[in-house]
Amino acid sequence: MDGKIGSVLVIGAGVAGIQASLDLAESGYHVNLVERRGNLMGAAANNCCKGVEECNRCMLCQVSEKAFQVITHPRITLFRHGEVVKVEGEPGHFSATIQRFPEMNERGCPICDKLPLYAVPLKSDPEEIQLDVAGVIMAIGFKLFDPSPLPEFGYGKYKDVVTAVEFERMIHERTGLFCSDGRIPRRIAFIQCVGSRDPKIGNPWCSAACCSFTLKEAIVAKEYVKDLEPTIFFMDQRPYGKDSERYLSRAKEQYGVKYIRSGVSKVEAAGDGKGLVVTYTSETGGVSTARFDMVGLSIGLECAVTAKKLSREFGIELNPYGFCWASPFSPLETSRQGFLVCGTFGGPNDMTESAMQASGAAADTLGILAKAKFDHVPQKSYPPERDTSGEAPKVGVFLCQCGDYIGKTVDVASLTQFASALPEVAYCDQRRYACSEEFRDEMKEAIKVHGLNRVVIGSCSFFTHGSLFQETLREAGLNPYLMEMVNLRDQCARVHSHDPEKATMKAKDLIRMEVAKARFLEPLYRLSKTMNPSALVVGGGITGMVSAISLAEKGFDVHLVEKTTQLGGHALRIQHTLEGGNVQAYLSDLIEKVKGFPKIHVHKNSELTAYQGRVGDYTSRVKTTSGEEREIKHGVTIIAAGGREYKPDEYLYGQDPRVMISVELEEEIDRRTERVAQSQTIAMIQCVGSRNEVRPYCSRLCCAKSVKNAISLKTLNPKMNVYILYRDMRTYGFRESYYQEAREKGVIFIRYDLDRMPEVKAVGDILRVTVHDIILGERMEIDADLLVLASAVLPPEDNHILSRILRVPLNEDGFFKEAYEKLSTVDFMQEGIFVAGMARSPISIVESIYQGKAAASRAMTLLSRESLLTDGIVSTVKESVCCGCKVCEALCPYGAIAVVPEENVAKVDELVCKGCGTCCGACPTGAAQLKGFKKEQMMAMVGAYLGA
Amino acid sequence: MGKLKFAIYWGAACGGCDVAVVDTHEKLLDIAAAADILFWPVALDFKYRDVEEMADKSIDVCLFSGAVRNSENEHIAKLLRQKSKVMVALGACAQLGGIPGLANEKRRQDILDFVYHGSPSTASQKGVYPQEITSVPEGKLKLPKFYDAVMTLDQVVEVDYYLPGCPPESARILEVVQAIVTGNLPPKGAVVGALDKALCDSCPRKREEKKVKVFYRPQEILFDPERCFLEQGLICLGPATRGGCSDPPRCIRSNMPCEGCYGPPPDVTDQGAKMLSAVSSIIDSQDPGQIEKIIDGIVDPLGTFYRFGLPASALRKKRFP
Amino acid sequence: MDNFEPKIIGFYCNWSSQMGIDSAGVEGASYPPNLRLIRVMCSGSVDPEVIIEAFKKGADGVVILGCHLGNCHYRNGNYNALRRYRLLQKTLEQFGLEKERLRLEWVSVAEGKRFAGLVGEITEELRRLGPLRQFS
Repeated sequence: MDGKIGSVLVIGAGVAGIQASLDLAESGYHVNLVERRGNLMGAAANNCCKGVEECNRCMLCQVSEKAFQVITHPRITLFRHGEVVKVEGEPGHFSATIQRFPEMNERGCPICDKLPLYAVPLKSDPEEIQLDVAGVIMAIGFKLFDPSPLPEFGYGKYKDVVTAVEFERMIHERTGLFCSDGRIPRRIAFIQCVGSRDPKIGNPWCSAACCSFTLKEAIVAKEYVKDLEPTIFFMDQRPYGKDSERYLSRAKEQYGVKYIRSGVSKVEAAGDGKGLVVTYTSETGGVSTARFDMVGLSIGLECAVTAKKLSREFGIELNPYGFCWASPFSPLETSRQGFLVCGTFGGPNDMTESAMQASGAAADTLGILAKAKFDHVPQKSYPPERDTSGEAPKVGVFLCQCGDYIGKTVDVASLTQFASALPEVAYCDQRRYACSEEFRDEMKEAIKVHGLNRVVIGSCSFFTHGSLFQETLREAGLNPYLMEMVNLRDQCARVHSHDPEKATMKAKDLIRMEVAKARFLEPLYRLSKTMNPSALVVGGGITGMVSAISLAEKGFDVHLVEKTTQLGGHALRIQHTLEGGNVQAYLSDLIEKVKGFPKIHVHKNSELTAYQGRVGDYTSRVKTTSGEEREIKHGVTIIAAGGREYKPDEYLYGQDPRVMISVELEEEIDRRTERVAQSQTIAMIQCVGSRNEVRPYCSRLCCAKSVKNAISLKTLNPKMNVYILYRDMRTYGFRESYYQEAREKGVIFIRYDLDRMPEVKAVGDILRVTVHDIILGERMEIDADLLVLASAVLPPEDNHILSRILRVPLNEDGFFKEAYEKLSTVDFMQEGIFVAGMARSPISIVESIYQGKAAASRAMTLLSRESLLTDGIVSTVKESVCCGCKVCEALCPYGAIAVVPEENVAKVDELVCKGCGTCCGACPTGAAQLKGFKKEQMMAMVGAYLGA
Repeated sequence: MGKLKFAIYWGAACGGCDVAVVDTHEKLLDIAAAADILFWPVALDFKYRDVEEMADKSIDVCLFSGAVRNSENEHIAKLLRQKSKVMVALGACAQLGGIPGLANEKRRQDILDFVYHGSPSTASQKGVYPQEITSVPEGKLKLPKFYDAVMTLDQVVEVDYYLPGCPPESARILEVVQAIVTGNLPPKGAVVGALDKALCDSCPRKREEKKVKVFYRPQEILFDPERCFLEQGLICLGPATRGGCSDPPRCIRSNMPCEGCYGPPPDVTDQGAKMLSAVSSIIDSQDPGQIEKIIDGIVDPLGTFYRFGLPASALRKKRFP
Repeated sequence: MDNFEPKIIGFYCNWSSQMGIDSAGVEGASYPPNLRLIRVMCSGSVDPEVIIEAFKKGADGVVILGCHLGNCHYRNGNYNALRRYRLLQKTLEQFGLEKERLRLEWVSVAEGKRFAGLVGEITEELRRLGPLRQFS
């Protein structure tokens, strides 16, 4: 025992809080998750997809799944309707005080806050709870901007002016789109940046999430009302996330979403009383009006309501905008040691960044925690499992009234009678609450007394209660997979409350079907796979090094493989961050740290040449440039292979020495080269090689980079003319203030369009840049001494080789394609392999840092265990009929099934299989079957309903 | 042991199965040495009356080829069942319905219309159709009743063994006959003369990756004779068809995809369902429009996936309004 | 035909569609009691042989429910469902089954109400089509 505590406090159960809690719990720690509200998921709970064909990635499904994991996780204690009021002590030894609100309702489901979760008696918990925790993760989220005080938008005055969030909720609740008078709208306007990028009202920042959010709203609205004309009034299009650019093009081309670059001056009721009129000033200065049926305000994010109070009470500093202050190169560390920040409390963010920061914060917390022991759950001992193999099926049916929720509609007494009479049913009973401890005890007793070997429970959702009843079976000495559930509440009683008679009939069918399936249930076992507690990190840039350090700090061996002769990657050429942080100092610090860890084995000049095995047990080969090869055994893999810059073949780059790319300018500024110092005019062109047909993605960091360089130039020589030719300035989040600063310092921003690109000509000793100035509506010539191209970020050339060796996919742009674009962004579908940094998409240094930590955290959820357990539900192949056709092989998303050439039969690696059953549906011989869902079981259910 | 007594009959069939029996060549003489053939309309002159007069179960083995299309087929099937100890469904038609079974995609009347009027080679008086009973001065002429649907043999009588194929390979027939002669029989209801493994198992073609962007018919492309048909976009029913016809399979050797005549492998009841499932699963696209286009490249899915097994399939026949 | 009650079998995936279907109950939505649901792990695992068996045994309609495209718990199992469903549907049409008798629908966790509406719509459609003629 090292005297440390193995417990963490997470404040806020939104996306970030949920992700941080799950990472920590999966890594073997205990988590106290405190949420002020009654339900989890924070802002994401309002999200909803709207029944469109293609998923628009609102991510509610994924977040809900994670929320279910939180509420059923044995190592997470959830305190709802609670607040942390005091935290005393030192990192590793905090004492936290939680106050719970009197309206606490322990029984309400934390997902919906409506239906009961578990039938436990209401306890009169103490008002104040004391917890010992090692660290605190602050994920308190944000507050939505309230547009009421801005009279120009007419919010509160006109019913058809709604916020984008209200718009979303309206579609969710009414499953449709309606004006306040019930009409279906034809024309709808969205106004961007309401409460953002507005220094007048004290919100100078860009809220970062709203551009993508509104875009989704527009597409979804269009899906609902086919002839809808959505118009978005905006200043800059800033959906900067991975793959967002494609989404934006799709919105314009496929859905006809209209974009008007403008400033909206007012929203009023139309003179004839029909609809709303939006008055706006276009880019060229003209004032126009347009009529709409509905106006959606894309409101920004502000710091959480409780931010001030908590900062005072906990002694953590806030930044000038009221969000949490974070250290420049440790973006998740607050001013108080042991307190970490993630999600929107640290600044406006979208869900992707929040989730990554959450994992990163979890990784940062691990350092101050005790060694993972997985011991915060009382170790239960179970009776030995009964061998039921020789027994004829004896099914026990247990029915629940769920208070009145089932009993009010379904005649549970007659259902009990019906079930008792079914063939092979040996016992049937019912209670007001099947999940109550008393009934579960009786269940165990009945299993023993009546020798039951299959159990069917007619109650509620498998999602919420499956694990509880599986546990009950284990306690009764039965294999947990000998249980089936029928959701009588949500799939029958609640939805047929108007017709009790038919509901009861349906309930009988459902029970009969599940009993018919149950007779074919067989005991299933979770296999244990060994875990080699070491990692392979591919790429020795900032991301890779940060990952390696996080892992090594927790005692795991790391093999860090770097292609070149030195660590540092791309960042070696970057001098300082936009915020002024000294990158080189940070980098040498990082390199020193890496060198100082005996657990980190650095392989320079090396490349990965072979890779095989599965999670927990990989064997890789690494080859140096001199041809030496060595074998590495490891349990997980992190890809941090970085990116590279585009060397433009446009704008005279490579032909004229006065044309350079941003990073080259940065180096010259740093060296104070004469030609930079003596330049009178420097022009920069944005989006060189990005956001075009060849590379339809945004390189994300170049806007900030150019702003940074422009400010540096203006600081060096305030008289210098600095021009930035741009398409959209994407200085998202707090970067916006540097954009402001650049403008204030006199940097001139000129916008250009794709259809009228700037032209560059060398004329004597100057470079003549010609651009069509949209605002002035005329051609403009800039005679520059130097021209700087903000060139695109490309994936490394050998990404495709790496992708083939590691058997993980790339996206269309050649970056690694993660499991889900918005959540699980550092994970792949294949377990045990992760990606972070530029290898997955262009990002800034600060973002690389938390991504590197996020990947490490995700890796540690696996590395912390001595072994991994699979699920019992996996595919199995009947080898006597498998013909080796290979249909399954190409389908499996996990690479878990493959035909063994010598035997010409497919074999399932049960340690890798995730039990989706895709192979089974496809198998032409019926050889592949999913355990627990075999064809005979499906046929039995169909037969039980329809008759033989 | 005395000589075994055989009966060989054809229902709705092309005679290919009988040819396959004859194709055992001189081995046929060995059969003849071991067995007496009591009834074989294709090759020998017997009357139905001869069979009717036999004692029940006096035939040791009846090889019944052909589907059940009309009342005569059914009547004789029942008669032979009554007279035979062992009833073998010989060939795809008896086992699965076979090619004649594809008629289950049509209405009875549509078939008659086409055959007696629509077909360009038919000259027939308008409105004249074969009648079950026709009165002529000499008395009444009877024709068998033409059923609404084609049936498999086991849909009208109990079948002891199934010997699949269109036609069954002669060598397999011989093996089965020899097994019967030696009394070396599997449990009743078994498929004999075929393997449990699907045809792919014995296919010599090389398999790489099953991902297909276009489906072709054999005449539409020049294909690699060494590589799996399916991987080249040619629909081959090998994965969902019992193997054992020959090794390596003859069709495959002759550069033709398997058409499925050996019927479903042991764990499959609906061969077409399984095959269409596998075929659709190898479509290499995630774009709904493109998926649709690729699927449209499969002309006549029912005829392709149920070519030999429509009457034996779960749905058996097309539903007409 | 007025009192014809169609028999419908639904296969739903363990993830988004289960959450969506259950949320119809949580939110107190209501739909006709003609649907019998069978849980599977992924819409891509549903075996056409089982669907055909359902029609053989007298189901008037079958619906497969999965996560929205691009949102499959197993990344792209639902694409597999889509490919298979379309070919199966085409084949069933050749068997004389109206294509409305086999449906593939995507349901997300937020779509409890939409799901309820969908069941109503499917039930009505099948009521209009009348019972599936069985082979005799």
